[in-house]
Amino acid sequence: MSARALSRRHFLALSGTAAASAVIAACVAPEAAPAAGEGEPMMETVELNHWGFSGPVWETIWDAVPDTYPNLTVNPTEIGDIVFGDQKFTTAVAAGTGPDTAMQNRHTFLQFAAKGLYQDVTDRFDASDLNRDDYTPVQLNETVWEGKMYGLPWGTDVRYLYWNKDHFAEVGLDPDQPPTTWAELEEYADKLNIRDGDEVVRYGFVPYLYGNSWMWLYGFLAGAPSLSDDKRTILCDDQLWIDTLQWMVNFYDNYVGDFELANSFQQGIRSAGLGLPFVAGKTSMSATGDWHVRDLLRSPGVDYGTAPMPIPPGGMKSTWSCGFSIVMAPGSEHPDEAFQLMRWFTGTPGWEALAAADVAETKRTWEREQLEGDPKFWPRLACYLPALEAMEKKYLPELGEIENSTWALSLDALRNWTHGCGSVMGVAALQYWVEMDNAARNALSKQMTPEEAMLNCKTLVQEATDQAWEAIDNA
Amino acid sequence: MAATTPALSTPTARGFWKSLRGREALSFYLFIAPWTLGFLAFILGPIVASLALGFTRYDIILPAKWVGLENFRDLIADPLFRISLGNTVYIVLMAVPLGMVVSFLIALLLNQKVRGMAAYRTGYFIPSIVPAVASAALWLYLLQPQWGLVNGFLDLFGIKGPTWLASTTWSKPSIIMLMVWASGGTMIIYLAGLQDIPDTLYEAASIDGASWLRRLVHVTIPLMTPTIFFTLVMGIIGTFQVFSVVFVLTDGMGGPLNSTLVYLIYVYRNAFVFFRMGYASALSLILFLIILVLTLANVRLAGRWVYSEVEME
Repeated sequence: MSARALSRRHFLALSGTAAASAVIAACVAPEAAPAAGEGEPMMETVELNHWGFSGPVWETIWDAVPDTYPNLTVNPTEIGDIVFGDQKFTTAVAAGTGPDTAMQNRHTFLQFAAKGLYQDVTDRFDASDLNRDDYTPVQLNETVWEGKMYGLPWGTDVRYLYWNKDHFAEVGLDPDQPPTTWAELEEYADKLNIRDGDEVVRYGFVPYLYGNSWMWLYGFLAGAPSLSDDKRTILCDDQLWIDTLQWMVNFYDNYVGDFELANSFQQGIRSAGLGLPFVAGKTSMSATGDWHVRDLLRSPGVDYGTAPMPIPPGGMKSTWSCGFSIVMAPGSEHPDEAFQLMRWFTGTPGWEALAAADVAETKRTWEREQLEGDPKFWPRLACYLPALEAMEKKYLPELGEIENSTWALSLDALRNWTHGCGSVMGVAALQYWVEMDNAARNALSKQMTPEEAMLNCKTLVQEATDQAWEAIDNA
Repeated sequence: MAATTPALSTPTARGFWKSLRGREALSFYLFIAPWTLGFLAFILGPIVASLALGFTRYDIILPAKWVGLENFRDLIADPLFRISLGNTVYIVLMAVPLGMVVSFLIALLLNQKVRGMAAYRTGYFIPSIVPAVASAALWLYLLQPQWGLVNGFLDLFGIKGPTWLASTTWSKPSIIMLMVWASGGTMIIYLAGLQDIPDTLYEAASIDGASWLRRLVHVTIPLMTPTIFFTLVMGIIGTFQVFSVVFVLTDGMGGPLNSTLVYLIYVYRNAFVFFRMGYASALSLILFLIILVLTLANVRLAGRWVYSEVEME
């Protein structure tokens, strides 16, 4: 935008012209309204306020809304943090100044739905032609609180094991055979570790710290329960959690070493611009999410495989998925249109618009980073299955074998063996998330024993859960 | 009765505003008006509300529920309350005196009459006006264990630097370093104080044969005590409320392992992450009382060491 100053004379001239035009326009006879039966009735355009993500990808997609709903325009605004808290949305809703629709994190969804932060959309969903079977089941379930639906699930993710085939071959392991048990994971990590004296050159595997697994992944693999069925009792003091954390502590003792050192090693790789440890070849195996494929597409030198996480004795094939849902805020003045926007955004048209913006951004990334070859785009995982299939048909044929097998692995997990991230944490999800993380860090850095850490988690989260339930019961 | 009531003092009041003292008072009120209006409009209400909310359970959405002293009983048993208060007191005890001494020494150097002094003064002052987020991001790079400049410098002398912000031992010293680095505001106040000291006093001391050190100890420092007192009080108040730097350096978590969990991060976490507004208000009330007591103690003790042209009551 030009920053040239407007002279006072020009300003007065323009103001005068504008004022005169306004007066003249007001004097012109209004256009005759169409008579009944003559043409289509005038449709009133509604502008909806949507609070969500920001950035180049998110600014452009809303232009496509009128293609499906000509009566809608969207005014998008950044929502701020919705992972550790939900400050902007919560305070706005409390003050009665919330938006029409908003993105919300899935792990805190029930906590906020229980407090009345979202509008019940069950009747609108049932009155529409939408079908519950068309959504990934776990994510749809995580929009439901006490039998009512409080939003539509948008996107999700899946975590699994990535392994570097070249590193496997280098130490004499079969590059096509990932570890399938925790015992094998330990054996492989030991072989893949490289040290130069005291200095770490490469880690075989670093549970919890590297990638995106948190402690939840290992607990779920061991079959550890997080909540009682009525969601009132926190179960992080279950022996399976204590044993899982003990296994992680032993893993660090035997194959990783000092927790602080491993943490700073990772930060160092990032600060040096080398990216993530697995992409930089600084760890041979990583437990992280499907989005990591995007990082690896930009680094074609890494020959990798993906597989379900190795399982402990007595455990089960498992993982966890999180992501975001879209909700209607209480007090929206346009609930019908807001629901239209929710279904557009989570449906195939919204996903197609987003993918088009993502592809354009991918091309810009390739140019900006001067990457070799043609830009390659890995679609996000939609919760609406027809959209997921549309993405698969359009974009997967352009990708290679490993991306296609990873896509198939993701879909298999989403349909059959993933946990959610909200239903497992209950009505004090934020506290549960933070305290589980504190428990892992306290034990891995030897500030507490695994048992002390998990009992501490239990005490703090149970107290928060009891308080939340007391408020819900009294509401 | 009305007829016998003496005339109101309107002419006298009008006369007061025209007098020198009146004009000075008017200027005073005009100058403080922007702050006062802002305080009345935006701050006073939340302060009063926070005092009351400290005795409730309130999650923003549902109505507040009166719980009496429950929040205060809870925080006595809360280990994170003790940890966050301990971390904050540690930082206050280290950063305030260190910042004052370093600022004072730099101000002494910058009070010399040498060429290019304006550039030096600007150089030392700039860190204090760099926004907290930018300076924290800068220090993240400087303190990066493997490739950071600080450890690179130590490496020149064969010293293996610590992991700084990733270490429970070194995380607080890292924050203190940053705070001392950004204490240019204190330095400017000292510089103004130093320039207020009349040259005649130094001349008299020199004629009496006082060395540089004796002039510093017997002239400069005594005459600077009102300024030192001001920076001490403000430093304690400000450092107890340290937030943004730690928030950026630790992603809002006060890590590693709560070693940088300062008091306001814990207040913020309770208020805006866990939405425990009542508990956060109780925590804030405790902090307010701590700062109030320390400030009153400082003012009470000031008479013993602060030289002033006006007798302190």
